[in-house]
Amino acid sequence: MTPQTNRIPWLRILAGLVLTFALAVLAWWITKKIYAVSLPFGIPGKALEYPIWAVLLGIATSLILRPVKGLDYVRPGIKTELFLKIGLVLLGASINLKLLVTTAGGAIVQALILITCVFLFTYWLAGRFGLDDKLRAVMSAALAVCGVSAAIAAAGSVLAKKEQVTYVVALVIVVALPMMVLAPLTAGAMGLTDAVAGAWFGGNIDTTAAVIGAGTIYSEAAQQVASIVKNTQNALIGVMAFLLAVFYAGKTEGGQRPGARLIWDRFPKFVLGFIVASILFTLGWLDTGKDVINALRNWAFTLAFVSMGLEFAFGEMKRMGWKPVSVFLIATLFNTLLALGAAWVIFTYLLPITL
Amino acid sequence: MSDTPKKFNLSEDWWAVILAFVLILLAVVGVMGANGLNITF
Repeated sequence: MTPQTNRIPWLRILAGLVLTFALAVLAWWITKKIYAVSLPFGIPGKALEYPIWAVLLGIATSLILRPVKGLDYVRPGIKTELFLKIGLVLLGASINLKLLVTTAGGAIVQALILITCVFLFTYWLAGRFGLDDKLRAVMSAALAVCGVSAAIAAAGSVLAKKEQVTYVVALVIVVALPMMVLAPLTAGAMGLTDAVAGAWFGGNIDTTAAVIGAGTIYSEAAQQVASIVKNTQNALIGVMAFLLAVFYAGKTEGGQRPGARLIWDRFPKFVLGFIVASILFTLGWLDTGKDVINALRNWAFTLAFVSMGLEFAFGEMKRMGWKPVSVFLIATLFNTLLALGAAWVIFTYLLPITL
Repeated sequence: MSDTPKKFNLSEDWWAVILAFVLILLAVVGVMGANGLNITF
């Protein structure tokens, strides 16, 4: 190799980073503007979360830069995976493991039932539709655990393609919007109690903002229960990411089981950072910087989504076709019905809570 | 066998963990935040 090819292209890296940061600032500016707007059908602007704007800005910029070869120039500075992994470790620093022990028993029972059943159902269904193994894992995690964050965590654990994450994140946000309005209307028509309705929203709707939105539309008590149930599911992200990482790292290839060394090499190390950060947060050692860490996490994910938009390959999306959408919608229907049944049985008969 | 020392290479995963914990440290000690470099909108 000649010294010329060995040289790190610092200027190109810097140009890529400056571009990504500038687009991330713009994405947050748009997000904040939209927050203040009320959308049709009473949908709060907050439901259109920052990943949408970040990805769209990235795609728009790449469409402008591609014809003049500008994208190739800045590509060394587009660090999608690095930003994703930094964001995931920072996400760990907001997960309180104590919640899994101290929260109302019903929330834990419901979370375990829903996560297990919805994950396995979606994984199975996606397999029947012939979807790629990694896309199956990302989609199953997004539907079973908690939407965008779970999709990102699963993608890191199974080393999914960027287009697969973008596709699933877009589906999560778009489907959560109508759910946020329809779920409280349906709960009202069925005369559900605040506890059952809240548990249903928390267990069924994928994004945290939409869960809170649905709870707010229904009642303050429903909002509280929805928030507890959602946070319980969120707290299980680390467990899911760890199990997926172990499963995919240990997958057999060409009929040969990998050895311990290969499993360790394949294992995504950021999952360990995530777990350590969760433990530190649970011990209360990060309390003073809690809000700033959350802001840093949002920045890291915004940078990652901008980068995904910049590197977006339309051909890959076209190749995936409509099958993932069909799987996502069928699995959402399954999740909705199962969450309703589980919430009703658990919060009416098995472990009712007083509000 | 060559005597050339093996070049130390840190994977992207470990870089992410190190950078994230540096950021966490800066947030906890107050270098970032309301009284330092404000990164919230």
